[in-house]
Amino acid sequence: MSALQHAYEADRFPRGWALDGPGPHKSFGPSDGPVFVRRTLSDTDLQRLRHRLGSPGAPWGCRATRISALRDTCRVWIDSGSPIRGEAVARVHAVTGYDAGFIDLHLRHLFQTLSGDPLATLTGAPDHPFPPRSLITIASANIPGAWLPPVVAHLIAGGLCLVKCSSSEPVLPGLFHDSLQQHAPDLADRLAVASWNGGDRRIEAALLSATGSVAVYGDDATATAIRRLAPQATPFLEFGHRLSAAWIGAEAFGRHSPAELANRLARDLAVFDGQGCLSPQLILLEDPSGDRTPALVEQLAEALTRLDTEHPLRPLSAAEAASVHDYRASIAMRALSANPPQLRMSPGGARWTIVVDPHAPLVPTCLNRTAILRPIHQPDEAITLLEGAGRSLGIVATEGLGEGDATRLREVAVRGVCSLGDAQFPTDPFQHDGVDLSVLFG
Amino acid sequence: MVEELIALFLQGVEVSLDDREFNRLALAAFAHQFRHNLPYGAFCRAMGALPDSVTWWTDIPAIPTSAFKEADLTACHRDAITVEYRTSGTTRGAETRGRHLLPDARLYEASLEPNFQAHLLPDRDSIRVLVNGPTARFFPHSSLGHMHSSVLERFGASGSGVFWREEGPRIPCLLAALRKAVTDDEPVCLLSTAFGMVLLLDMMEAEGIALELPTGSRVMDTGGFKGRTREVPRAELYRLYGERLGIPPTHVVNEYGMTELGSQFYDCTSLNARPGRAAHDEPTGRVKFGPPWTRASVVDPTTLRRMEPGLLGLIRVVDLANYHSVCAIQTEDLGVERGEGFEVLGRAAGAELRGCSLSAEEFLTR
Repeated sequence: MSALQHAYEADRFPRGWALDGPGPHKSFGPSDGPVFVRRTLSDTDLQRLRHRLGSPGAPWGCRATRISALRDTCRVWIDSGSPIRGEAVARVHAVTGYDAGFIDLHLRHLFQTLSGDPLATLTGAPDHPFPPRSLITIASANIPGAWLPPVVAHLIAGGLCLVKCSSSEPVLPGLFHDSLQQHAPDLADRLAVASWNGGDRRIEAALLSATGSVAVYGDDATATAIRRLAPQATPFLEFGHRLSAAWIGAEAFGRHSPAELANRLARDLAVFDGQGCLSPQLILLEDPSGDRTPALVEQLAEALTRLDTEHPLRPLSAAEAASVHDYRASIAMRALSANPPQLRMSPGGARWTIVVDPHAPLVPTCLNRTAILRPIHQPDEAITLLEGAGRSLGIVATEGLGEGDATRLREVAVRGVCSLGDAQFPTDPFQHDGVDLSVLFG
Repeated sequence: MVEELIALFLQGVEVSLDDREFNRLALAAFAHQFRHNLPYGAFCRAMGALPDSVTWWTDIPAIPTSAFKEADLTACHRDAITVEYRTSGTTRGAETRGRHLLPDARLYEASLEPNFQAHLLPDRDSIRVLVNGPTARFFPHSSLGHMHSSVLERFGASGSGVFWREEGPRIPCLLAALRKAVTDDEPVCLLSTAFGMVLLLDMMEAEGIALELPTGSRVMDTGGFKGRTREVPRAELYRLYGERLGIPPTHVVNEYGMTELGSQFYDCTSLNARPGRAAHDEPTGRVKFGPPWTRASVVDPTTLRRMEPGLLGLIRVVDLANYHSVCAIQTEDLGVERGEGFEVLGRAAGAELRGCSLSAEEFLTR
């Protein structure tokens, strides 16, 4: 039996959280996937957790010491052949179905940026005279580790943190805690990981009323439900759904081949199969003469086909697959309309879809490697469309965009503007949806 | 071809239609629809399936039910349309309800009547029909309403009635009719949405009422509970049918139908079992069968290729009664093939909520 087939303990309650003794446990996980185990939180457990969250105590070490400990921990994840990253990749892949290569790439990038320049800028900040109170972070599963930046920022600031992991990805919080435990056990004592069933009112009401602040990742319904349970005065950070876009300007077609642009675009679409808020839902092409789009579509089809071999789409649920087929049918039936959309799709299944639609809006799509291309005549047309999304706009991945237009978009998109192909790999993890976590927790 | 189909349907469900003959009719219908149903033709072209290249009914492109919300999928001229069935409310709201447009209801009725009789009235020609659901008079755009009204008109004996109006259910009146049936010792056929049955049973429980309906009474329920204010497991529902109404599981036949289909599928129980179809009287694990002019299969959700019997996938139906629209319909219901029938095992999670039972809840919440 391989290690992955053993039940994985999702929770971590270190010293000081008073839950280290034996307690009833329950297994959970996908019906045909790996098995996980969580502690069944009793009323007594909840009392202890409430007490801990309400009395976070003095921080461990000084700010510089904590940063150094976290940097050492991050490096363990970055090292070539890192055993813990290897275990995380295998386990996250097993439970989410995401391509292992992309998970590996993502984790390396995440920990590199967490320990790199952004962390260095935090080093200079003075220790806060009153360390922050406790933080509960509700993690989501669509992007593994997306919850990590506020947790790291909070630990650096000297706070105490409880991460509630997603039932669909209960791996990474525990493994991160293990690595912290190994390199800075005292700092690891300031972090606990729990995995109760989301929506368990008994648990959530008890803990949310005791914590000093809350950070929530997930859909609007989750955020609303959590917000209702937290006291009104509790600081509440909400990282909900965003819509992102890509923009290939006219200039890009002159500087790069269609194949290169297509490869970079395909990467933005394929990493995490469009599930993240940085995945482009609409791709704007500056193509007034209409002669650039066909070549790009051709190359994009090739790139997505190749990626599906190298980094396959994860297995889709029946509902997800049905959504893709529904969307394709809706596009196909518009063939008789004026200015009809064009449809290209993977043969033999819902592996990837390309649509060229001159009227496509920026709206949620069926995701899962669906590329919706909208040719435009003028940059202003794209700017107006993207500005219309307001603060729902996540990131704009661009190539060939003028500086003036980029500046305008930076003011709108909560995650700013990045290069085409880098949408899933933001350079500063502490700049999150328009929130500077280093300032917030510093 | 319409006349040929009507003649075929009126031969009844006992007359089998072999695969070759079914294929001939299905391909002819496909060619007609490809040519005259323009959005469907465009869909088929995009799927690379043309009448010249499709040689077997399993390869006819199946249109997703959601497509009925996107386009008018009809092979009739706009001026010829006289019947419009609308899907019930969905999560997208009433403004995006799907429409099934037909020149008339002749194929629908020709398919409905022999199939209904074979599954609900195999032992008699008429019965006292009590309708606890929509009817054509009050819900002219409900296909279920049309079905209820057709059954009432064709099979309803003296004492039949409708206990659902525009404003909602009339459970006290229905209870009075049920009591009358007991007094008259006259068996009834109760047609209802499943959620409508819950409303009836709730009131009976609240008022401490339990009836022993005359022997031979039966229930045809339809629709599910997903997304409703209250979900009752089927086993529990059937137990309550027995306790509160005196109707055994053998006489409870669940119907599987949808606005986009001209034919219906029914449970096979001891009430309607025929040679070659094993009766299944337990509330769960029931297998549904359609008339000979339909074929149901289960396809892989991702590839849309037909799956081996017994494997879970999405239910796909080819229904010749849909000659005027699209015969090949891709549902969002999960199921497995069981012999010539299929078992429904739920709905693709996250798929739109729909179903006839929603109308019951709409009345409760508005």
